[in-house]
Amino acid sequence: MKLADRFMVELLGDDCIRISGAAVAELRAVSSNLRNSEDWLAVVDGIEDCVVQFDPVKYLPDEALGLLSGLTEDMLVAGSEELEEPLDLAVSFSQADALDLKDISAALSLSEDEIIQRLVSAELRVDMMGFTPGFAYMSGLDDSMSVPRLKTPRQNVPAGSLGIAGGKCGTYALAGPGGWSIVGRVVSPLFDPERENPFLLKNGQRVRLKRVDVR
Amino acid sequence: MSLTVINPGLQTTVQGRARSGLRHFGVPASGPADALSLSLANKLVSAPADQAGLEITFGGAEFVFNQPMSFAITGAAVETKLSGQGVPSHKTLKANAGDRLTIGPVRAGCRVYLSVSGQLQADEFLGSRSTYLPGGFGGKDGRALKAGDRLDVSEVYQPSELETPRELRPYFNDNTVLQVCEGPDWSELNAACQTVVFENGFQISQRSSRMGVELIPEFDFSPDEARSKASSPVFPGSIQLPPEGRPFVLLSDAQTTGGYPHILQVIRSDRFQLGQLKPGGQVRFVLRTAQDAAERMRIRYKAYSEWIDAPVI
Repeated sequence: MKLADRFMVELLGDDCIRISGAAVAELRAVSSNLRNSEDWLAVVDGIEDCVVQFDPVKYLPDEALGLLSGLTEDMLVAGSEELEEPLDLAVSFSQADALDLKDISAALSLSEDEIIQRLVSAELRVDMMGFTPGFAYMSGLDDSMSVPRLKTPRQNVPAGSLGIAGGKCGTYALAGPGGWSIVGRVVSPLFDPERENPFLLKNGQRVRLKRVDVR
Repeated sequence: MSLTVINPGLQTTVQGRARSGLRHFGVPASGPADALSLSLANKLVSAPADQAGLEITFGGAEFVFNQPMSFAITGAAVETKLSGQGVPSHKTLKANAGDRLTIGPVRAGCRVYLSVSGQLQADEFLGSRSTYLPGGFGGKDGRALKAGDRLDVSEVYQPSELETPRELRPYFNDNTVLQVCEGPDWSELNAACQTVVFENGFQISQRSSRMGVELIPEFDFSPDEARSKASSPVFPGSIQLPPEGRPFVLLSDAQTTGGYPHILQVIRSDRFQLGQLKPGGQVRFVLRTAQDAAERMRIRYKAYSEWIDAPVI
């Protein structure tokens, strides 16, 4: 079986190819395998698709399209198992770290402890990395936890912050601007420039939050 | 060796190699908004095409060389003076210790590039010295340069004296034709809108930064409300259409994914021009097929690679 039999593989502009139309877990396996090949400049996941960028000096668009479409099904296997193993993230919900927990508690009419309980019992999964460098956009939060974005985004959200917005949960690997309500801080280092993969989380990764007390 | 910033103008940043290999973690490319002009400036100081230089938005900047070194100016059209003497763009120039470099306001185009004959010392982060302002990393402490900043330059050398061949000098006149391919959401526009995009020109609004450039006026656009689009990868050159109907063209610092309809994609060989789109300037789109666009890139790449080793375009 070829990639083009299982997925929609189409040109996007003169230097990109978009792959879509199958189960997201399979797409993640494909993109992860494509990243290991030196043929492509970038392989970026969206929520429901994956876009591969190529060098038009190296490949004409039809050549790149043919090359990708013709890849065989071994692209679908391997690489997905490790994502299935949930990664535990230690989170501090102290007042100093959970900048908006009090406001969220009022907005949702839930106690702070109830909110924390719903966060740590959630089976989360990274749907996409993006929005800001290293930001992990995760689904799996209880429906009761949906809040809008902050009316005024923060200029500087501390690194490691755990936020919620629009029924999703997200982590800020780096400090930077952001508009999600901050409910805690991930103590595990989400970013380490010395690591081969500087960012701890990746697309498709299953995640569980563990409450820790930080003095 | 060093140079001191007397006046950075509206925004001057250190830009060199684009960040690569980490886009799937949400790390934008950064690097020069007009990579071709930085490649050309670097050639004139015998440096690799992606060596870090200064990107000076709108010109109007001033520097002092604290030691002798060579330098070159490319990009937007400007008048430049070295200690009061007019000096040309696209030529290897020599500065003595204490020489003052005055770059006038841009006459056409948007960004001026300054390369020097040595390694500009700047923060290397995730494999590049390029500044990413929203994340506050790379370059000089992750920020735009300020008056009084001293930029150290190491390994200063004597480059050959060169001039960019006339036929390789990009010409910017604030009336830009951008060649585009259809984006993945092009079909969301009705036929009337699709026609308007190519028949009408657009103006570049004041909402313009290294992340992207907004085009006006807005056009009447009614996306299918039923179809909410899941965030999908976007790249420099992607043109998105937010609900208010003003196309937004993404540049080097653009985020890696976006949820607005992605209607067009600026072709690879024209992307350097995005860095020269100035607020108030005009833009017109011309549609190309992917095959035609890629052939244009090959022609451009071949022309520049006869002058520059591994040009970044």
